[in-house]
Parts: sequence; C-alpha cells; structure tokens
Amino acid sequence: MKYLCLVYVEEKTFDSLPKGEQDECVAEHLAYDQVLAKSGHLISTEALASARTAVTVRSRDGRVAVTDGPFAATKEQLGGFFLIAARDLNDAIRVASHIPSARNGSIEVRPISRLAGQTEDSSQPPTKTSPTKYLCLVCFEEKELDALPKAEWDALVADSVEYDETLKKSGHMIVAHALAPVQSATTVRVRGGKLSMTDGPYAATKEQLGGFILIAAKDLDDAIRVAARVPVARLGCVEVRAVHELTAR
Amino acid sequence: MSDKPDDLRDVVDAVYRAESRRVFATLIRLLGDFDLAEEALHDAFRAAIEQWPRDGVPGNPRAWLVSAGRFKAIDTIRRRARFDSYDDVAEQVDAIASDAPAWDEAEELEDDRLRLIFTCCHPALPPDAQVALTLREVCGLTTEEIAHAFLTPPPTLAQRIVRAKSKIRDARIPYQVPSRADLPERLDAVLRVVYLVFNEGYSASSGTSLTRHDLSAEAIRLGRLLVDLLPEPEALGLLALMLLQESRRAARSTPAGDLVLLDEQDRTLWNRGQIAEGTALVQRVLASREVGPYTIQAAIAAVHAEAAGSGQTQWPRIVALYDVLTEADPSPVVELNRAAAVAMRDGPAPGLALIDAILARGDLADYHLAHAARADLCRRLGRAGEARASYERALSLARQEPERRFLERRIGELQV
Repeated sequence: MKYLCLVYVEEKTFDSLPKGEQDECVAEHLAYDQVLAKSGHLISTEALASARTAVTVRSRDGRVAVTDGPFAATKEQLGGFFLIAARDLNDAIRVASHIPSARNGSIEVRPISRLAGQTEDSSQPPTKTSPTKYLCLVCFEEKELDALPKAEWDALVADSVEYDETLKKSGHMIVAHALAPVQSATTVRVRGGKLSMTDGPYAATKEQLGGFILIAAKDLDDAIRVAARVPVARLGCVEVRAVHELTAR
Repeated sequence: MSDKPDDLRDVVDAVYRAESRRVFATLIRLLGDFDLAEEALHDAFRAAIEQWPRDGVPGNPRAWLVSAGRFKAIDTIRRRARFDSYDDVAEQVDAIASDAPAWDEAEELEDDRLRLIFTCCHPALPPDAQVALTLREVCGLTTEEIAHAFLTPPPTLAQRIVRAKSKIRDARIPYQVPSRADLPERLDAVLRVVYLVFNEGYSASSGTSLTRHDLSAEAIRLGRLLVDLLPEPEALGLLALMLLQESRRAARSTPAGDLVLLDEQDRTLWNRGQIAEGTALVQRVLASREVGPYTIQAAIAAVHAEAAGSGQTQWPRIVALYDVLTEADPSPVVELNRAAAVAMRDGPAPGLALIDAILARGDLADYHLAHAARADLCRRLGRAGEARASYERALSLARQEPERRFLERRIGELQV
C-alpha cells in the first residue's frame, strides 16, 4: 500500500527557532529520508517553499483564474497530488490548469524548496535551463464528486489517466496519485515523546503544509509508525492518507 | 551515428538556447495561442531529445522544431476536443495544418520575433505586464528570475503574466507588426519597455545586484534584436544610450557599493568598446536627421564619454543638446538636467536659479535628485544652511541605500 504523509508545521514556529535548531531539524529530516530509503519505505519526499509562495489555479469554462496564496479548504478536500518538473511557475500553472479536476475543484501549486545541504546554492532563482519542481495539490468537494453520474465519473477518470500519460510524455511528471477519501485520514502528533492520533484530516488553521513523504508501507499501522518518526511531528503534525487507484465505477 | 548521447544532449541544449525563442514566436503565429505554443515548444524539444540521437540532427533544426511543435499541438487540440465543440476544433486543426509552410523563410521567422515583441508591449496591457511578458516570452527568463529581479513575489508576477495572456486572448490583440501609420507610437511603447528593463538593472542598487545587472544585459540584448529587426532611428538611439550608460558601470560605484558621481569617476574604468559602439550608433542616427529623444540623450552621453575629465567636458555642447531635448520631449526632469549642465557651463548661480524656478512651479517637489542637485549648487555657492536643508529633503525622499549613504556623507562634509 502507498500512503501520503502530509507534514504540517506552523511556519512562524519554525522560523522563530534559533538557526542552530533549524539546521538540526533539517539535518534530522535528511537523515530520516536515508532511513526510509534503506527500509524500502521511501518513494518520494519533498519540502515545500513557504505557503506565501503558493498560488491556487482554477479553470472554469476554459478560463484560467489564478489567486495568491494557499487554498483555504472550507468545503473542498485534498483529493490527490502531482509532483511535476516545470520550467517556471507559469509553466507549472499551465500544467495545473489542465488537470481535469481544475475544472470543478482547485489546484494549489507550491514550489518545492531545496533543503540546505541538498544543493549547492538555494539563494539563486531557478534558471531557464534547470527545471524546478512544483507540487500541485488537487482539491475538490468529495460530495460533489460522489454525486456525479456514472458516465461523467468515468469520463473524469479517463481524462485523468490520459493527462497522466500526457505529462509523462512531456517530461513534466515526477509522481502523481489520487488519495483515498478524506474520512480515511489519520493525523499524527508527537508531544513530549508521546504519540497522539486523531481521525480525519488535519484542519490546518495556524499550520501550513510544509512537505510530504510518499511511502510504501505494509498497512496503515506501519504508515503511522513512519509518520510518527518524522522529526517535524514534534512541532506540527503529520496527516496520513492512503493512495488509491482511479477506477471506473 | 557517431554522436554520443551526451554530446547530443549538449547539441539540443545549444539549439534550445539559440532557437527556442524564435521557434516559440513562430508557433504562436501558427497556433494563435501563447499556452498552446508553450506546450508545443516543450513537446518539440522533448521529441528532439528522443529522435535526434536515433535519426541524427536535422539540417535545419529550427524548421524541424516548428514542424514537430505544430503536429504536437494538433494532437493536443484533438485530445482536448471533448471539452470544446467539435466544429471549433476541426476548424482550428484545419487552420494549423493547412498553413502554407511559409515558416521556413528566414524573413518570416524574424518577423515572428518582432510580432511577439509588439504583442507583449501592446498598449492595452498594463505597463508592468508588458515588462513581465517581454522578459518571459521574448527573452526566455523564468517567472522566478523576473520576480527576483523586480523584487516582486513570484505568485504576483505569475498572475500578472496569466492575466496579460488572458487579456491578449479576450481583447483579440493581433499578432502582427503594426502598420506604418501606427509604427512610431507602437515602437515608442516597445522602446519604453526595453528602457524600463535597462533602468531597473542600472539604477536600482538594492536587492541582489548581480541579478539586476543581468536585467541591463537583457535590455541591451533586446535593444540589439530590435535594431536587427527594425533599424528605426530611435531603436538605434536607445541601443546607443544603453551602451553608453552601461559603459560607466564599473566606475559608478565603489567596490563597497557606494555611489560615485560622474565628475568623480575613474574614467579609465569606462568600457571603451561600449563607448565606441554607442558613439558610432549616435553618429549614424544624427546623419539620418531623424533625431528623437533617445538619440539626443545618447548624444549627451557620448559627449561625456569623449571627455578625459569633467573639466574637459564640452558643457556648451551638452547644454545645446538639452535645448534640443527640451524641444523634442519636454519634461521637468529634462529641465533639471539642463539646469545642472548650465551650472557647469556658467557657474552654480544661474543653474540654481533654473532649479528654483522648476521647484517654485511645484514640479519635482518629491523628486530626491532635484533637491540633491539644488543642495550641491548651494554648497558650491557656500550657502551651507540651504545646502543642508536641501540634502535633508533629498535624504527623506531617497529610497536606495547607496544614494542615501551618499547624501548622508555630503551632509557630514557640510558640518566639518
């Protein structure tokens, strides 16, 4: 089974840590990536640039609307994600605007940040020759989707499968998955060495999505164990969502 | 095939750097849509990476890429067909597929780049959007690079580009070089964008200076492109002006980033190659007798450039050129510069009278350089109190760190 671990942390909290502690936290994360790679859990993991760098993309009747900032989920839920390589933010927005769910939901586009120690120079903006990675978070209203007539649902699935193919061919695609319904989510926190879990997705009020880890785990328990050891779970929390395959109804 | 895959990757990269903007400009004409063209460009290079190692590099890579991009776009349109009405799609595909292969003529291709520049600098678009679009679509900078250079958050800049493209689509802004009748006005708009990009890189010393310097280089590149495509006198004049200003870059600030005024600059640091090129351009335009504001400003810069020092500068000639500029393009800033030149020719008092007249009219009250110039003339006249008041006013208006440090230094010197 594949699970997506969404790492939430309050940016202010992290930014206010002394430089030494921040570096330590980053080092711990990089070390944990190695642990997960060795254990065979790790599929893909990235840290995101600040939520202030987010844009939200919607496509309605062939028109693309872009708004500043992360998507404030009120009615809609996170239903899937695409990790892409794009030339720049506008290229990423173009890719996002053609994701089938952009027509009825919203796509939050977040640049991937390079953690210190991962790359030689993060102070320079991406250049025309090196593509940048972006995470496209696909949000839609699950209720609305559930209510779709069979033919429309099947068409949406067919489009989604086809768009995956298009992005693979164009070289944009790194990894993409749909997520299991939001009720299946579990949110994990560690405080004072103690693990606490809540059912359901994490309702981010103060905290922001700061990164993700896509893992292969035996089952949900195994995934929760992995999530609980994410260093930032001590500061914020980690939402665990099962990945599922899109199929016709 | 003797080429190793790695070499071919380098070949494709080199072709990308040399040709991608040209291919893109042509694809926009053929496809009639920025986003579709961007996708087609991307797909065409993707196809090149796959096919060139197998089939060899085509004799005319540019034509190959345009053709590949065109077929990829037809695929894309067909794939999206189920969301559009069938007739629209059929019509669109027919139009793209049946276009006579005029694109292999070099002239047409160069026209495409010019079309792209005029579309990006269309007056229906807000000025900041014109700048962003030109840098991204004509120069090939990334959204993040442009945002970085203009100290704007990338999401804001990305939205500006998305909105500008929607506007081009909705307002049906044509993809063409303007008619002879509209050309002067439309060319003005293009030159303004190029000069704005240049000044952003040249005068702003805040932020990361390196990237901002790149903006000036990018503007000069654009200026050269314009001169190649459309050698109108003012296009030549602007290129000359940019080269002559750029020639002083190394001399206009200390290694610590402090400002050095023109008359105190080490003129051996001036770039002689740029001066020679700029001066030759000025002379070429002056000979044509179609002289506009950019050329006059370039001519002024050329007079400075030929002097071995401030004392040897031909100030009467500079004042005369400012007189012409005041005729051609009157503005309070031009008057201010003229006043400074008059002060050099006739002494501080007549210059000060001119500046006071501008300020008395209520012009330039919030322009820090007007107060700094006034302060300097008062200082030279020994009117320290007035000089201090004007320097302080200038300091309260100045926003750039090196300028602020310069003014603070001058105030400090007054007190000694």
